[in-house]
Amino acid sequence: MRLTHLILPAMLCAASPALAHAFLKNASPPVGSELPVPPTAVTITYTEGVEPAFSTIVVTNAQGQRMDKADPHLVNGEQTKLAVDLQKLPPGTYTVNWHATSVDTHKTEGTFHFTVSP
Amino acid sequence: MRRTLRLAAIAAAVAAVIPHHAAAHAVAGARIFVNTDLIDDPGVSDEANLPLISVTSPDGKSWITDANFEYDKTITPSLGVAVGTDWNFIARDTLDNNKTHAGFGDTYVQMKYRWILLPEHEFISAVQISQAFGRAGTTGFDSGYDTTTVSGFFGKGLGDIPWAPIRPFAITGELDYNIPDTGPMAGGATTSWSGGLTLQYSIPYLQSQVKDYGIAGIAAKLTPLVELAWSSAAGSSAVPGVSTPTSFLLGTGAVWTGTYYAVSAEVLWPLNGAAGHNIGVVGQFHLYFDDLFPNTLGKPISEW
Repeated sequence: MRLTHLILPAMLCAASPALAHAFLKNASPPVGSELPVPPTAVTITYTEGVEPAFSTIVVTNAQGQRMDKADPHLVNGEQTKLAVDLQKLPPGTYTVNWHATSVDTHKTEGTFHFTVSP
Repeated sequence: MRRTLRLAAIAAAVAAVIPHHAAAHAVAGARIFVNTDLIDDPGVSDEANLPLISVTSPDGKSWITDANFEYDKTITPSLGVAVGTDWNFIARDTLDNNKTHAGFGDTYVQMKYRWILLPEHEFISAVQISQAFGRAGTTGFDSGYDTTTVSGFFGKGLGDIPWAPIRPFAITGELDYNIPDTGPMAGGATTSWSGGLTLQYSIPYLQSQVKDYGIAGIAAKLTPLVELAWSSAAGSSAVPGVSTPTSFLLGTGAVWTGTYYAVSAEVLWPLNGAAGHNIGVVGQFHLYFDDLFPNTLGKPISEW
């Protein structure tokens, strides 16, 4: 308990800008969605800011062919929004693999799918 | 003397059923293995239990409130140490005129090493050695003997299984071998096994990796879970009448995981008499120092 009393004031004094692991908050197209019209980009909004130079979004089709333009970039300069442009997508199911390095260097990654309906 | 032995026995019973914690912010890929209440999770991180509280009735008459305080510090990203203790409050001690007692239990230190991390498979594993100092607490509440514990942990998210409904699930486990420095002949205990399993269903994982159902508010950060904790003697006691009974305890509840802290609550269901005689509760408030203070307290010492 004494340790707790020591730690809490130290925490308050040492508080720096709050940064954390960057997890997927939401995506466009939405995770697991089925779309009547092919999207032109995949945008992921993270829970924390990411380093675009060390973060990737890779979109592949059912055959494993890469369908994004390999141009990860921040959207409107927002550190939490990373996007990648897409080639023209025919109907099918697509896999989005993302790797994020948050601005405080925590690394996370994940996968989700979306479908373009015929 | 009798009271001392009884309180020590009760405290030991609580410690056996609800193991010491070094709950960690364990991340493997997109999976967060949440801080669980009955067993430790498989990560190494900068965190604190402030506190983890359980209310149980091991003998069906007395009620014990156990508040566990613990601080975890990383030395390197995969190696961490922890220090902690428990404060026990015993109400209605039927063997002592229904009196109420309070005191500190064993103080313990732990060293944990995460030896496997496979983000793409959401798999993580760690090993740990712990030393509980059984004469460092309040007389009658500490165990009276030191215990060395060797532990192994694992966590596996099911996100790599190609069947969407099962992907938000994860399983974690812990196995401990407890070695007291004093045997039952001298008032100590027999060597024992303890550990448990958890089954977790992550709503954050469901929405971010499987399908976004638009779940919002508190529910969006909930992980419902079931935990099963177990302990038993490692061998038969050489002392007549002294044994470590096998106990099974089930916990059902949920963890709310925010960016900087987590809150959990579970109902405890004793599955046999050795695990208690009444339904109990457990919950914790848990701080993630690695996210709160990533450049100071939350950073491994090797990176300072």
